[in-house]
Amino acid sequence: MTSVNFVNATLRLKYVTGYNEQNEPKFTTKTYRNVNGSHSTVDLVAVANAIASLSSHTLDSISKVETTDLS
Amino acid sequence: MTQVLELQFETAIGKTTVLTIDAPKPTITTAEIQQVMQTIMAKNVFEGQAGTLVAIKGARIIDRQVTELELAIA
Repeated sequence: MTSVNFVNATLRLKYVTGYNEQNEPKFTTKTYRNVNGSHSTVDLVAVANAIASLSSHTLDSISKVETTDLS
Repeated sequence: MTQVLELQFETAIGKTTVLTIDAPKPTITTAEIQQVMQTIMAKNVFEGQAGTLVAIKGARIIDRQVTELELAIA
């Protein structure tokens, strides 16, 4: 018998901050900790987009890093 | 000048939690900020040791001025 238990999760927003001389994008990542275990993906994406809407940087991608405890 | 927008929330046990956003839009309005804060609370995806976010406490923009100094380094 094995079990999977949620430990914690973080939301990572990757932004384009500008372009270098070769016209390649420069990125920065902003991390938000303390994402709970009961969130839905739809809600998390909505929150990510809401946060990004206040920034002058362009949102490139949204990711979630989740740690689970296996036993 | 670099700017950071700080969103301050009150949590279930009465503590303050701050979310920061880099380089806020210069055209940002307080109505937009309040709407985003409402969305964050309504979706209820954040919950730390201090509990869920239950109320808006405030918001502020922090300006940071960094001046590089020219040093004669041998």
